[in-house]
Amino acid sequence: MAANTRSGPESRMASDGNIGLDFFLGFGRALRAEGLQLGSAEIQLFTRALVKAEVKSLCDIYWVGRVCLTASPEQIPIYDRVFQQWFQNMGDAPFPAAIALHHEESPPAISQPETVTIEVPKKSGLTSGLAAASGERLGQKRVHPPDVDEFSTMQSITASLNASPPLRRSRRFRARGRSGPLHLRRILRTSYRTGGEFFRLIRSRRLTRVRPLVLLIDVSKSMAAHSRAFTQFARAASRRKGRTEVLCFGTRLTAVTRLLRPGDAAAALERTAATVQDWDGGTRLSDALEELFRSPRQTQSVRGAIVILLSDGLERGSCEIMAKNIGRLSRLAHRLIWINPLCVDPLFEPRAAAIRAILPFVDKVYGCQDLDDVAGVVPDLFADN
Amino acid sequence: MSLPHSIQELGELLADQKYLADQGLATALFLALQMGRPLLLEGSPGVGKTEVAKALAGAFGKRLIRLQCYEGIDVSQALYEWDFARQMVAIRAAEITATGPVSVSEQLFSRRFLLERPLLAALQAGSSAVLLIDEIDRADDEFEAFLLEFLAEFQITIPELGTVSAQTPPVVILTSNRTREMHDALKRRCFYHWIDYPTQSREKEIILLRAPEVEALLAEKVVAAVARMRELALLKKPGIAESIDWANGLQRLQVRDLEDGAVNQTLGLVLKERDDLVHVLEEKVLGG
Repeated sequence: MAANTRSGPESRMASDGNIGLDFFLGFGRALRAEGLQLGSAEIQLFTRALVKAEVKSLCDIYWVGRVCLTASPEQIPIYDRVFQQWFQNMGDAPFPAAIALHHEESPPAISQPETVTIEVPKKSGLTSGLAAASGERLGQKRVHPPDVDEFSTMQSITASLNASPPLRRSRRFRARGRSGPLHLRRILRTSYRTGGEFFRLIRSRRLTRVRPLVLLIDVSKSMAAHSRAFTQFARAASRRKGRTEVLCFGTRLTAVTRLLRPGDAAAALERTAATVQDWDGGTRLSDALEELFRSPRQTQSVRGAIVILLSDGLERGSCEIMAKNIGRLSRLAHRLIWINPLCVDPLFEPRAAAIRAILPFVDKVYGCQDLDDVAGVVPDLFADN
Repeated sequence: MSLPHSIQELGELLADQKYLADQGLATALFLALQMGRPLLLEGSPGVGKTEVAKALAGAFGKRLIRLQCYEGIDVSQALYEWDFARQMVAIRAAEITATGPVSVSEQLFSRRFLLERPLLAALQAGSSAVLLIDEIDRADDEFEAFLLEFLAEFQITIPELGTVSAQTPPVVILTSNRTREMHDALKRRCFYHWIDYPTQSREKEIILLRAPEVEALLAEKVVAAVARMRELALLKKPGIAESIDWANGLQRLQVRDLEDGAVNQTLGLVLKERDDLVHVLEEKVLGG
């Protein structure tokens, strides 16, 4: 398969300039090589659809392919790119205007912060990727795999989160309740045993569901000492029952749930560390939240969830905007819990303006500096639920 | 009415129903009709996902059967339910008239006591219906798994009655606002199309088609202003539905110029979040 993809579009073209089935199969394989999950069923569907739609122009092929072979908006730019590569040699046929249009209209994926005040520590073995275009300094981080103690603490955190999960009422009903509406289906079925006579009214009860959990982890420089422990906590939390979403933020927002959850813990933490681009940079909680609210999907994931903010709250941005965004977060969330490493000190007084702006919106504050601290507060996290 | 012969013909039929589909959407619908496969439409709220199904039903004289999804929706709300209250009455009536037990049970589990819900109704109607499964992202995973089976086989088994299957499968349109990711398995059984915001000229055409009393010049201004709003980082970007409402509202109030202060009173028609309202006024999107 790989050999075919590498041979490129030209060699797949028949000598008379007509394109054959092989050409389209190759196009499908090229898309697969770019990471689209396409089985032979999808590619077969694509070729059948081409015949059905009686394609006449490149534009037709473009749309038929997009309908059959893509499955999410993220795949569309990949599709566009491969499409351009494969079909650019097809004579003078006008290239579909829709492709160009799509690029013009799609909003920028990440808003770029305008100022730079970030230093990337230059340690040995630290790969610091400097993205010149964005104007911000990005850093990657190497994490050492969790040791035996950490590993067992992580497991106990997962177990403890599962032991008393935060619950909410579901919309589903089951029989055998005390005060719910009558469960007619069950009443009738029981009555068959007694010749259609009802001896007992059976009521329904609401089921409960595990509330979703959203972790917002600050990975900025001031948190560098704690980010290892907090990422491990996130890994432990992502393994619990129920929906859990983990978002890292420094100068930008990165969703890492999919990296953190599956497979071996060491590999998961490694993956996460490699993907998050702004380790040990600046804090922009407010910007990160704005980015979150701009995505309807992530906003939805916060709605009704228990949000745990792991941050020291040291931020230089405007406190008014910060208060506005945290306010919105706390209105969307069911509970907003703040785990702040500074609060460990009993003499700590919130003097920084940003911290004082956050505090009124937070339901609970805990001081935790390492994984053991976090493990200590976990049983208490959902106590009032 | 028979199926369209070309993508263009389908586009024209939809335009007769006051729905302007771009080539991508027309292709997706054409293939869904021709190949009898469900079509999954995703896109921001208010880009006309639900309207597609209505227009399609109108264009081909089919019956529109709509299943609005919500959290906790289950088989008894989506598929069928026995009419328990009537069954109980029937049992009592049978006691009085002393009907034999066998014929009672035959009666009780007949079609007469079966409440059809949208999915069963769509199976019965077959190809004379358009089944719209709206906002599938609101339903929970369990329901999605159930749909998977339904969409693959187009048949269901009612234990007391037997298997009901569609002679010819209905046209199925699923919509999602993408508040969560669909399962790959469900996506794999569907054609997929992402509906983007339309270009300004197309959006103007849509407004003029949907609200014919709006003046062309006003529609143009509205469309340009809405396009500028969509460029801002708003919490809830206005959809096409909002721009139609806004243009309509402005026309009724006889406001012709967006720089007019009176426009500010009507912003609630396009912007449904207070923060967005403040943001738009600060950015002076409306000019002036």
